[in-house]
Amino acid sequence: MSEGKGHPKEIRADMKAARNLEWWNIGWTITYVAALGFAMGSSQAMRTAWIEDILGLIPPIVFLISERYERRASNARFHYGYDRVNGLGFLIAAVALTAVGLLLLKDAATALIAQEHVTVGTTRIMGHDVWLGWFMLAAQAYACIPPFIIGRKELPLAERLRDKLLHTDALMNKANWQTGVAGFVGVALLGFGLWWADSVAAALISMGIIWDGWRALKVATAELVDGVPHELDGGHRAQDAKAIERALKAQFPGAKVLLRETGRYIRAEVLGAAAPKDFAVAELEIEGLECRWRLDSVAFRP
Amino acid sequence: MLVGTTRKALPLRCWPILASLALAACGPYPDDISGTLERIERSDRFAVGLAGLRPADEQAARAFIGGLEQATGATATIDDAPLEAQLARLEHGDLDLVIGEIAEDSPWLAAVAVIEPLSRRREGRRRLGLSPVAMNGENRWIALVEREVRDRAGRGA
Repeated sequence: MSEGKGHPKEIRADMKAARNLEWWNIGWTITYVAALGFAMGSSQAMRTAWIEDILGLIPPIVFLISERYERRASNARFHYGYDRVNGLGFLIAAVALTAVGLLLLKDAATALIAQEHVTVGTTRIMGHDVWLGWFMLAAQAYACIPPFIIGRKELPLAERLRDKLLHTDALMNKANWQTGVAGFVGVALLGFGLWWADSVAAALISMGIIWDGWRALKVATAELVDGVPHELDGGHRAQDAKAIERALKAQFPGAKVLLRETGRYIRAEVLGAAAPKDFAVAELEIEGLECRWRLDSVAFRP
Repeated sequence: MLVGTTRKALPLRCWPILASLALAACGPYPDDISGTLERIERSDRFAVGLAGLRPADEQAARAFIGGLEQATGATATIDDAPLEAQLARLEHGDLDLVIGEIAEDSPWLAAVAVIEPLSRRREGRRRLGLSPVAMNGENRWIALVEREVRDRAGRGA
């Protein structure tokens, strides 16, 4: 939390679980990135899925770095601590994701327009010629399994921690295994002599990357421009924010309440009211606020 | 009526994978995009372009073509022309195979499928491979040509 050191005690166990899960995420991702890298050959769909899986490493790495920073106390240079490092890293990742997605979509569209035919040759193993497409299919099938499992484990943690980066990582993992299926079908259909299948699968996968990037960009920029706290999926105003606003308005009738999100925390500002002498954030009664630790501070501007 | 069954249906997203595998089990797999091998087997003919080979290389190439004739049961019609012209004809679909000396950094590498070389040599700073070249995407035909190259290498031919 901003001015203190370390995470609030209510979320320490979940943060530790999230940290461990992200290390596992990185480890497993490296295994299937390597498998896809060895098997991809000249398949556009495989190459696109491979790049998407490499990009899938960004959120867990950014999470681990920002979580480390977040634990640090504020100092002379950063009076509000490092709560927003998570958002900064996330913004960089989102821009990279969107840019690469656009580039890959352009490649797939170019291949489709040029009607490029993909060659997948054979290799000789113990006297038998084996079509390299079988390795591609096996690698692609394997690449669906870890993101399927890890993504499902990340979602409840992201909800409890109100962690946008973890939540987007869970969605990216979901997209990764779904696009893995698209890549699998693309290579399988290529084996039937359907030249367009590989490029169409690549285009679908790159659209998935762009969608991930766009969603991440929306979340990252909302925080950057002091947006009102929203639910993790970005759709509606967060229930916690509504509860805080209601409670402050009830205690300070006629005052205007402003809310903004810094990382996983909410900061409130009450306009048109002076701070009561005995006011303490921890003692403020807030009905319906699930995670008390989210409210970092309340400032007053009479 | 099934009541309280504990068996779960396969997720909908698994069906494309299963359907692909089931389809792969029927018919030739992998298949050619332009159906080269099927046409060769149907017509009993295939067209090969040699690309200005040295005499020793031409002998090796003709022996290799003989192996392909045996493997396919078809007869090859062979002609000779400069490499660029032959590759352009291959790309256009007028030839089924070109045998020529291709540099490891040839700009043609992306446009056509250059198969493992029958032999290699160095010319100045370039490494050249006496390679069969097929049209991109003819994966079943390419697999057959690759098998023939490896079998010949295995026999020390």
